[in-house]
Amino acid sequence: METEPQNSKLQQLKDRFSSPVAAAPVDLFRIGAGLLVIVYYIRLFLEFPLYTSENGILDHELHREIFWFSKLTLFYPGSPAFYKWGLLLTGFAGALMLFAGWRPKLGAAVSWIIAVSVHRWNFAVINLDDSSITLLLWWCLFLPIGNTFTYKTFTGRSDWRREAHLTVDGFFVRAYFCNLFIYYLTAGLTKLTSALWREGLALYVVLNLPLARTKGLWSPDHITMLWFGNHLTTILEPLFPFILFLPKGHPVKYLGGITWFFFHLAIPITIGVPYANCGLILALLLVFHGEIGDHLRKRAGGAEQPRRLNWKAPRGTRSLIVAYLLTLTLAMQKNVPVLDAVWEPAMATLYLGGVAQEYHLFDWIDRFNWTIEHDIEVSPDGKEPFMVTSDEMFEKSVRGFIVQSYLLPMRWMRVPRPLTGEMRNGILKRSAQRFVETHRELLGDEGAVVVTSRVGRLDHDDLSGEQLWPVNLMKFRYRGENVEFLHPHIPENEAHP
Amino acid sequence: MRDRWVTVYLVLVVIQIPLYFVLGKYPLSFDFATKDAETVLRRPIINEADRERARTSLDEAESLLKASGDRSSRDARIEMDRGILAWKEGDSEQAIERLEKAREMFMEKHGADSFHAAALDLRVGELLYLKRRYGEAISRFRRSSEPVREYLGPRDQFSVRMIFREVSALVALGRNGEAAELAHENLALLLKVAGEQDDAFLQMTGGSLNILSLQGLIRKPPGGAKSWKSALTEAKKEARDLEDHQI
Repeated sequence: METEPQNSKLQQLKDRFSSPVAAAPVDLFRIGAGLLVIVYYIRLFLEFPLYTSENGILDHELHREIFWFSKLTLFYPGSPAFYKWGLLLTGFAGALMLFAGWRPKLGAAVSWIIAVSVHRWNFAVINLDDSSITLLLWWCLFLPIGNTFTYKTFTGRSDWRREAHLTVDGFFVRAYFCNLFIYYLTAGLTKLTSALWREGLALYVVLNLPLARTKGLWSPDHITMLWFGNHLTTILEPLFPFILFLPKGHPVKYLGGITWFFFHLAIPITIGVPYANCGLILALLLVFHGEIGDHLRKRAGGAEQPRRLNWKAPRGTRSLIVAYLLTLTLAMQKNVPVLDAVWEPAMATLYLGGVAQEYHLFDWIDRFNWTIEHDIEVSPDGKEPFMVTSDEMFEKSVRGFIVQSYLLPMRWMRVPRPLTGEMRNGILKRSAQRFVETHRELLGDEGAVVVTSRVGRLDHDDLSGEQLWPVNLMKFRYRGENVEFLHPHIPENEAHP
Repeated sequence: MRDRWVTVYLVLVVIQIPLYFVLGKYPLSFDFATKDAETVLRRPIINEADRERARTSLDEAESLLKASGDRSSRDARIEMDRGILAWKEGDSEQAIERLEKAREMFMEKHGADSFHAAALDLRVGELLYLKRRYGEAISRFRRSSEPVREYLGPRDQFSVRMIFREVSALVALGRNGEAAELAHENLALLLKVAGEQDDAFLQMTGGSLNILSLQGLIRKPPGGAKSWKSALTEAKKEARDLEDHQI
């Protein structure tokens, strides 16, 4: 007798979670996600020679030994370039299918599997942008997409006015909100564990890191302004998910939405990480599904009542997504007393499932506040020496910075301690080799290259980078495409682990 | 078919587990064994049971490495840990011998300019200093301080610690002029990293600085402290208080 009210409450909760949402905003999200994944794959094509190729900066054989868990992937050492290109093109085709709404779930699945494979193959340089793409594709597997605004609509075979009145089961949309909730709470609250964030200096430091687009534009004179920005971030970020609880059309919800939009727009403009931030801007389409649905229905006109589509989630998907959200919550408990023990097994489970995520964003700034600048002097034999810009050797991007992190006493990915030496040598050798191969005309037949760096940490003791110290990073001679290292001395027959 | 997607997905997830078990057997077990040993070795004082535990873990790590055919610098890490264990057991000669061997192994694997080799050289220098073999210690400090400072930075606590070990060694040999010159440039850094240093180091360093200060070769202790020993103890206390306050 007593269980009845409880059951009915649980049922009420389930019904509430599954109450219908307008189908059109969900598909607008799908179109945006598809477009973002298309652009992401184009970036993977452009980055192919640097990272995915076996002649790039990453020694994949070494990395597979260091990050042994990244071995299960569709890429394998020695696989021909056309095979790797073929995989990337297949992933790109999947993104096109998602964007066009033609078998979008199949497209998302294909694109997701290949993205996960790329991430495992290039594990050393993976960052939030990559895991955000995985996350978007993962959610596209579950969300009720492909019912509106597909290629049929745009070719006139389906009427958007009719589609605007369609509704679908809202369970997965709300489950996605739970994911956003975990994301913002983790990203927001963990910043409070960082001394630089608490001191109000973190934003200044982040904006001056080599990975930021605006590096060099900020001086200690801007600290007061950025102090406000710093604290605004720590206040706003954990508050964002709470707008999900506000009723449709609530003014605070609109205000929150506008702040959310500009917050995530400002990050790619000033720092980078565009895919993660664009993905979160896209999430606003789902956050405002009610408002957008009403607007579209009004635009479509007619006295038609919303019509619920008979879409049914495949068996087990709801349970799977609930299990995923619980595991994700546990995986975010790093450094949390008691629960700290579970984060690694939970993260390993997510990794096995191809949805490993890390929401500790920039709370690592106290450890990764390193900056590095290079002077590259080329001395071709018999000619005057000349300088080339640092970007010619190390790509100016987040990945480029991550590559350089392995040259410093910071490890982007956890390389077991003594193997940092092998990792450093590998990066140095391949950067030099690639530089010589891609600058044949500039370098001439024979000569020497000296790379001197200025390295340092930006913190309250050195805000303007005045205390950077010089480092003789490398010196090598080249003849044709052959490179001979003079400094550091790298064993010729350096063995892979 | 669509109702079987979840089953197919879960099967794909589950079949990875034995593969990961095979792939991770050696590297993971090695990491667990060495971490276990290093947790024990990090304690300031260890008893016989701890020593036995560390020894067993290092033996296990070594046999795992042999079984896997690993040719990386992991073997140097084991040798280094064995050196630390020997030091904790009071066998300083064996400790120096093992650390020296680990240094050579790092040089072989990473090259002559290996940071790990240079850092170990400084550690050996520190042990030689503690054994009062000051001349040998100084030559190691001179040889390896620069590459370590270049890699970790002049503000890093390890770099600063080694500078002041050299200062103390120079003072012990009566080369106070050289010691003062070296100390003078780095006193501010020493006060900053005092919170990360052990008391024994601060006391020894404070003693050397007192000698230099009394001879007027370096400035007097800051903040009106009676001696450099108390100035360093106070700096450590302040750093700890700040840390507690931040937590």
